Amino acid sequence: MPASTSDLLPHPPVAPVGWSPGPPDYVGVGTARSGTTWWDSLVSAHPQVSRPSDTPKEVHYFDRVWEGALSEADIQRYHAFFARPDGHLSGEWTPGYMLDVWTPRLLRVAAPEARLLVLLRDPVERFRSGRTLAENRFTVGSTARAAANAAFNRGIYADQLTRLWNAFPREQVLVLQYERCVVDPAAQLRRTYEFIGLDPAVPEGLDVSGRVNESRGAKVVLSEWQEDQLARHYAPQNERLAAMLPDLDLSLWKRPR
Amino acid sequence: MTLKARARRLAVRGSRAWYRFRGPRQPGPPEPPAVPEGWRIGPPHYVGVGAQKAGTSWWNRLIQAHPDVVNAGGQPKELHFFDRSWEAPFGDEDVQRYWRYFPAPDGAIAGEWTPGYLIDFWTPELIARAAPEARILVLLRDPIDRFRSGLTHQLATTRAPLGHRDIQGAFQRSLYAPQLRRVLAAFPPERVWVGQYEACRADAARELARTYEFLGLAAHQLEAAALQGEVNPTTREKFEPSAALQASLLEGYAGDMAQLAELMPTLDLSLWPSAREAGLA
Repeated sequence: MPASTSDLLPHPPVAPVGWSPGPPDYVGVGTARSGTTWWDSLVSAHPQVSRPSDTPKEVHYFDRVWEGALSEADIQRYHAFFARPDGHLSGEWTPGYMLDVWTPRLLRVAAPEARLLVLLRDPVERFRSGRTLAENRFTVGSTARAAANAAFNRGIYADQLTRLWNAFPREQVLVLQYERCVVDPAAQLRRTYEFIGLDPAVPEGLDVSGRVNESRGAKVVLSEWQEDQLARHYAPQNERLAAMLPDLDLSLWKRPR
Repeated sequence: MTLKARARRLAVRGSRAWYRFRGPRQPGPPEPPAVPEGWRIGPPHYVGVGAQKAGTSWWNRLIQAHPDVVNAGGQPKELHFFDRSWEAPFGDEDVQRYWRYFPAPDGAIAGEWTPGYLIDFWTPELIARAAPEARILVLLRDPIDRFRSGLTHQLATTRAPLGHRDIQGAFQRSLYAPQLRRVLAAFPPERVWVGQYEACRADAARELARTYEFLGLAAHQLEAAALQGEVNPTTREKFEPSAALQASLLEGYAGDMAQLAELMPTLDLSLWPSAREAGLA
């Protein structure tokens, strides 16, 4: 057993001279294999956004704190990841925050004013892509069966969003659809900038179409039966999500045959 | 740190590394039993599908105590027949192979109960394919009690410290609504029995009579002593969630239990402390 919670928390980087720490202005909380690295790089490319070079895109600050107690020092330590020059904003994007049941509450304590970003992708495509990443590799006792279940559960978005909304006011959460970001990145990026409180103009010369963190190696090939199973079991969950998010365009996601 | 503590830590690390290297025991069905003379093989009459740590071993034992329920060759309660069926296509020969586990003479029935079938999203439909007439048994338990018991069980069996994916995984297992939805998509409601562990504990004789009736079995009284008993009682270190984690769990389960009540109106949520605390009963 660790002596205290702080043994479970990652260490913040040294801030550049003249930068001051503070709570993150934005925190991306979901979801894995949905283009979050790409989108985070576009947010970071804004001239008013800074992050110490040793602060990763994914801080994973709350991963091991499921007992759920953060001291004032632990909160300060989180803020130390987000040093920035005067007038700049800072943040991170850890796709698992939305999934882990204990995290939204902790995030609310550590960054009550943060703007939260959620990027959602067709859960069938997410599954296809996510299974190639070893996102479930570290589970003790992980088998192909356990990995399939864990990957499947990550695509049940309605439950995750409900928990997020329990911890944060809804207007503090922006839900983006990956497929729309692909079709019109500039418009969705302006929306994102504006939501975070930045000048919405897309910086000149920024390549918004770039894809980052493409799956290495071949994608999982789903059989027709597997794809149909996924589409069918996700359908009622997607309907619940659509009832929560009137903007969600379900026609962009696979439907059961 | 004392030498003893250091040795213990080393042992835990070693066993964890070994566990990761070797992986867990791959559960799978044993060889099908020999068919006694005059018995016939066929699809199982009943398939229990869930939930882990909800009293299913106890309940399966009580079902098998009925004189018209047979278990040729002492098959294990959990066949895990579909565990690997997500990766491998499931064909008619698999259906035939499944039937070989359930020989029975005229007038008797056979079945199995694998709690993991409920969480495996691909499995209810495969059961419907392999045993379209089967009666499906689901035993549920207060989601936080089940969460706690599942992690206690895991601590005891893997002997490794819990990681955050274990916590999240155990949380997910008590989100019953999506799981039950898949069962009800594969089977008509009159062939699905959803029982509650707490009701079984409160009045085993009454719940067992209902179970027998659901299975189409004649009424049969068991001795009080035979009704008793926890089959897999927990004896080791218990996992006890902190107050903060409990609060998060409760929030996470509140919405699920509300959906569950809609899916299965006969469920008595007032038996679950979590449901009462969430104001659902």
